[in-house]
Amino acid sequence: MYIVKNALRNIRRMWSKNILIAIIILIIGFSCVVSLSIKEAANTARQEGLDAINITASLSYDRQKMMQGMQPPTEGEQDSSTAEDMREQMRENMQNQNLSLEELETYAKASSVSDFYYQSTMSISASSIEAIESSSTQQFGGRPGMMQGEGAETSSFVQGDFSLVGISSASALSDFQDGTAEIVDGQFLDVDDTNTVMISEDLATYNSLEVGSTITLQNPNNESETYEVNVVGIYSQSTDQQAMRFQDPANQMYTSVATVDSIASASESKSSETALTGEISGTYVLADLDAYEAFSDEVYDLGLSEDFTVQSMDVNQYEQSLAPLENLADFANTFFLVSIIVGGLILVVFQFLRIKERTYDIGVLRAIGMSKFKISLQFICELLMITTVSLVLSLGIGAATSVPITNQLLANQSTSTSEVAMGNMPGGMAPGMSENSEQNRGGFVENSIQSVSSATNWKVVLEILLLGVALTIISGSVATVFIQRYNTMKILQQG
Amino acid sequence: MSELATKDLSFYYTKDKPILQQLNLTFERGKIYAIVGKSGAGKTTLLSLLSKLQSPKEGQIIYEDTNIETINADRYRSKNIGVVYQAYNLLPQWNAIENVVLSLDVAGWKDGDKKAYAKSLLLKLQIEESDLYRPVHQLSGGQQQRVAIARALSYNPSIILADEPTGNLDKATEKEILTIFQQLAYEENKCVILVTHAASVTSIADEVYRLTR
Repeated sequence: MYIVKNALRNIRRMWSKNILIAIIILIIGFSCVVSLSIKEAANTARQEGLDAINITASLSYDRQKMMQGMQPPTEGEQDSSTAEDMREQMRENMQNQNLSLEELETYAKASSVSDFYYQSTMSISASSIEAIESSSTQQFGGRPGMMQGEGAETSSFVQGDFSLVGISSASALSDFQDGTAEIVDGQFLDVDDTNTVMISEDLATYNSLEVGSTITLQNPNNESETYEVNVVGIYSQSTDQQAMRFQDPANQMYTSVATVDSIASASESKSSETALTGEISGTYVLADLDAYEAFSDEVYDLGLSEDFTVQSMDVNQYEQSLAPLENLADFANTFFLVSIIVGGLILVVFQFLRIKERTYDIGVLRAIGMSKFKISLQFICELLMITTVSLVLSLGIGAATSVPITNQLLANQSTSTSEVAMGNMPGGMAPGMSENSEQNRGGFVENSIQSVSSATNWKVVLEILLLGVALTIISGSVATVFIQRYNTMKILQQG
Repeated sequence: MSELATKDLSFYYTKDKPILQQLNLTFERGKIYAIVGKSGAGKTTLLSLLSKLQSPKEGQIIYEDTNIETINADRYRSKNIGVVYQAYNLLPQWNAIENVVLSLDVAGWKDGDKKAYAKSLLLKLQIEESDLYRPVHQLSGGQQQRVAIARALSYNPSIILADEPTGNLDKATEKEILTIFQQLAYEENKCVILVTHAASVTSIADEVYRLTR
């Protein structure tokens, strides 16, 4: 007990030097609090993001892998038959890229899948209404739903102005689930009905359509081939995406899979050359990130070709949203380590100087029979008290300022991340985009985490206090080593 | 029975230049001993050996029939002997009471009000009340000598060692300090060992040991 009292007495007596040490520890402590708080904020955001995320995944053909698997033709082969063979092989591979509904349903049996739904999308025109935007009809070589260039040598297919999207269940329209889209007139379509559609509010206004109106759909490659559907619901969508006409959400009409199938079947019976087809895409609902990772393995066990890959926009967006915060956390981690090392060295040097300065005191204490251990303990006690006060203050200041500091750093980080991302885009910025426009940075900025609401928590408090104890013990052990080496007789002789 | 004794005690830093050689001395309670000799005769070295700041190269120092090499040095210095150093060796920033209380704490005293006891001891050694709370570096040499004596006496050791106890004092103060040592030996039955080359100190000693090289 007297060691503690003596430590307090010494701190009071040498207050000016101790205040200097306290300020240095305060600065080191503050740096550590902010660094740890940023790390904690990143962890919290990651966990909260994981808890909130609804993960859906899809299977898609791995074009990159296919490209890598093919040997590019050498200069001499460019116009030779080898190059032509390679292109032919690529076309064949591309044509086999779609999975059938039966195959998609097979992979839906994976234990990690909690729900499965699919869409059948058909490119189509309409004779009774006009599409939003006035650009000319897009013309591509190949059948609707194929990549540009596929089957180019057989015929030229015209892409329709509209997308007719057949859904297997209401879950397939995630925009309606998350509130991005909502029915403003009529009702959500019944997926068991046929020949009923939901259209966008913009399309309805543009063509003076209302619930109960009939739309005449048309095969863009055979104008005599028409199909009638009834409008049962009009929806509005809050997102304002820029896209080509047939991809414009406003030109999308939602219907049941049965409707798309019946149109495709009727079209096939009329002419297989110009037949409309629905392109099927399956969506797998997974409970969490672990389930997503499990699914990524299970599909191959269930027979999926290695040419296909599992992809999740949700996971990609989630990872993209965390990028600035993760970068900041990495920086904070480095900063924390530097602070610890520099802080530790400063404390060791200070402790060494304190001991050198108080050599005579140590001699006196040894002369009256105080053990080296107790003298070391007293020095450690003094430093621990100063450290504790400084760290408590740094925790207070850090807790009050870590959120605004984190958010400011995050804003800077988001800006630099989006600039790097824009710089990496093929061709750089799109024409008409200004350097600083929000639209320019749009996807990157909107998707990334822009701010954190809390940073310093009990874990940070505990870490800082443990850190203080650890630093004190390390620098205190320096004191112990020096005190052990002191010769009382020599100290007293030197006075 | 002697309180403290040396038995064939030798000390040297290099063997060819011994400082103390085959020294056999005895010290009893209730007596004042003076250790005298010329500068470099080994007086202070003997005191450092008796207070276990250094260890003998040969021979033994016996405290109450026990070789002090077998006793813990910290325990020996904090409980069994009280040393008054020539340079006082007080904590200069601490006041008189704090210096005395520190010795009591180190000695492990648990009883009573240590501050009150220290105060009474210092007053008994004629330290003015107003000087009790001043840092000791602000006190005169005589006052510091009294504080050092109070500290050495505080935990009631049976042996008091003093190195040149009057070296820095004027005649009047010297007389007062010597009176205190006499009281300690004759009234409190302590063994008082004074290392000195002052004739005035030697004159009050019951026995004088002269060191020669």
